Amino acid sequence: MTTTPLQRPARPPSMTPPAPDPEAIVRRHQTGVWRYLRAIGAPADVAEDLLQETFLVAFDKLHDVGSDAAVAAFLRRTARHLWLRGRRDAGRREQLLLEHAERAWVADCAADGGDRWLDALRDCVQRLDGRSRQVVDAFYGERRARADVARLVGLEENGLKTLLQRLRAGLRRCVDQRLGEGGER
Amino acid sequence: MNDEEHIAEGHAEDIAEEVVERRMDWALGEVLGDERAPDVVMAVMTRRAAQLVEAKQVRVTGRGGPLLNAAVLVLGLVVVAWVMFAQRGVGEAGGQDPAPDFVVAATMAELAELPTDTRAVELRDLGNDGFVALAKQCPTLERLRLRGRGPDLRSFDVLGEDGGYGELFEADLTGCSGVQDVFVAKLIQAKTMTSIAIGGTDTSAAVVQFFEMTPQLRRIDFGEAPWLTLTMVEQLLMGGKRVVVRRPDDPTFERHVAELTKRYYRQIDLPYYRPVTTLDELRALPPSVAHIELRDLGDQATLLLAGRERLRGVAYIGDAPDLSEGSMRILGEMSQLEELRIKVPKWSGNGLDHLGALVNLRKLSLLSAGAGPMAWLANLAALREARLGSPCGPDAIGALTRCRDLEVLEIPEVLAGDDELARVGEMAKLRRLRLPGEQCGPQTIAAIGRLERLESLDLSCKRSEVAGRHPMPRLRPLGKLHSLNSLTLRWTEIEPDDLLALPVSLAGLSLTWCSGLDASAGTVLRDRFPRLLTLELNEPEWLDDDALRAILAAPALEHLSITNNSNITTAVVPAIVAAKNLRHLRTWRATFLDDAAAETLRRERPDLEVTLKVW
Repeated sequence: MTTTPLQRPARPPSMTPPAPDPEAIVRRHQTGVWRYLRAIGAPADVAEDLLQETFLVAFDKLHDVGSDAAVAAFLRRTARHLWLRGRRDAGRREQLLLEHAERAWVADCAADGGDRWLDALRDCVQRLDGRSRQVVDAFYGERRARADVARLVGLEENGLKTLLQRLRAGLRRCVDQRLGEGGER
Repeated sequence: MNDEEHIAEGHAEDIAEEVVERRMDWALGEVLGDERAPDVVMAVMTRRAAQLVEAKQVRVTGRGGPLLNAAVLVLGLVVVAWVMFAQRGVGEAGGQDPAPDFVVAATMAELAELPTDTRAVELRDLGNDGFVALAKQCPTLERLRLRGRGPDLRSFDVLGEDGGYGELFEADLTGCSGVQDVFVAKLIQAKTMTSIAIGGTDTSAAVVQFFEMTPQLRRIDFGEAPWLTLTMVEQLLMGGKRVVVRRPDDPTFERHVAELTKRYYRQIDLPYYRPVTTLDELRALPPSVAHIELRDLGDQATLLLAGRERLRGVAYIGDAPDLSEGSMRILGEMSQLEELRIKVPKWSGNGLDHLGALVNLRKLSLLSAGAGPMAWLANLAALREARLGSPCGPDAIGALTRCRDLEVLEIPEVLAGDDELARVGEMAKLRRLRLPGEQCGPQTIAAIGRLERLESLDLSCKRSEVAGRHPMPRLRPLGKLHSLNSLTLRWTEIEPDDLLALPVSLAGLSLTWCSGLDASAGTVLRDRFPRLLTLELNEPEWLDDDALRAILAAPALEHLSITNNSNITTAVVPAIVAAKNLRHLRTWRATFLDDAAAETLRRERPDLEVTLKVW
């Protein structure tokens, strides 16, 4: 086989600005939107359906939206709306809760879809040991029922509930602290 | 009631706690469990396409006002969603089914009016005539759905040996009467065919052998086929085919299929690469072919690839002396590329930095490139899998740490110190890692111990008859890897205590040509790893009858490989017979399997597959 110099045929110049590529938008934002849906309370299987709906509903309006961050915010709004629509019975409290969740998300997850926050959490979880680690592994890692986990660590269900509350608050403080440290570097 | 009033009523703390609870439910599920954001690109794009078709049909018919149009659109979505839900079966992630953007032909007259470039058609009750006519009417058909009265083998008498459907990649024959095994076998000969559904047809178990022999087939939907067995399912999964089956009345069967699917998840859902050996073959490929393997082809083939907008993956293998920087430059312009594999002996690797422009590249495999600067890897923001055959220096390792979504990394050769290699610990999403064991010092092992998502780890050393086994640092840090299910330590030397430090989650362990253990390892292997399915123990000088008996009593052990060991006697044969979970015993130069023992196994354990090599 002989070798010949390679030259790719020139493409005709484009006269119109490129339209947003829907596939690229899904690829770029799907993880962030899914995490957001999970973080505001959608169970995993519901979150997947809502994720698809979010993109389908949003596609027609995305060309007016603009920057990457604005697209992400628009998708979150759409996702929140779809989630809330399925929970009308939850009323004003749910709306209020979602507003709080949105503010928290914008503060520490919106920029990177939650990557940095998860990394910090991962470090914090590694610091847990003994019963605390056993409880989060069983309850969140293996998704075992609360009664099962309570039996596993020798607690009443109410005791486990309190322990989980304390663990979540502790992890939250640890994550905030780590993100604060990261910001100062 | 406004926000302030809620706070005044003491709701604020409640709400703040619940916000944290919901977020932790997601985040800890992702950090500790196996929850991951699904890839919905395909599902969304196909549903989007269905929306557009639906909207177009509404506009064309011109009936009704905007409200009716919207209603039809919504109804279309509901139908799509319902079909996707209804078609979902065991062995398949939800929401990935293609949407029904099919054009329906229920009469021969309707069929004759189909545009020749139609790509998805549903034929209703048109039998052989419809099937034959469609191949001629729509030669570029990609997706075919048959309903009602279907065709039989006679249609291929008319269509000829090549079948007539040169670009078909999906056939749904669900519930189609008259469709039998041999018809299906003929249909799947279409070299583009990747997906078929045969539920409710007149097919039998015999059709499975045809599926096994069809490498390009990637997904088979059996519907509720009552003859499908778990053994068949496993064979197909091992061959890289996703199996979808529904047994509403047999949840146990469905659960086993789901477990098998999970076990073989690495093999399935991989795209099929169409092999091409000449430029003419490449020119003749339909534009729908998304993955192409070029064999012994270089720059000229690259030029032909440049115009293929639907190309997603390219592989260069074999001898391609003219593969030059020009090819890399053209590949670098194919921004749609998601996979690239190059395994060309004596390839210089010149121009690799052009590949840094491939922002959508998810899999990169450079198995034969010469060494060179690799900092461009840092630009591959979408990279999920990297396999690099050339020795990797600190620049490559540093660049890879910036690929934040990297899940698979295989670098069998490294030119970096322990502290530099330890940067793999920054790749927090790694699920699969292969590093040269001889380069891994204590810092690297400690760093690997922080990769909580790691599922598979290979720290094999280079085989060396002269230098012997390479002593590994203490493996205690690996004990924190709760997701690790596969560990390979070929040609290493480890301490007996190290086995006790390994995570109990292991399902596969290879201690091939591994030294340093003693006979106590047998009971440790049995007791510490309750999920151990596969164990490789080549040349284990420490293994004696008692140790092997202990191993054979491991509760989940299915595959055992023992070679080159003269310490074991025929006295272990009863323990082999008693190991009811054991399905495959692979031996090589094994003194304990004489003719009488082989006969005993044949008689007592006909289900046990024994591979015996004597050379």
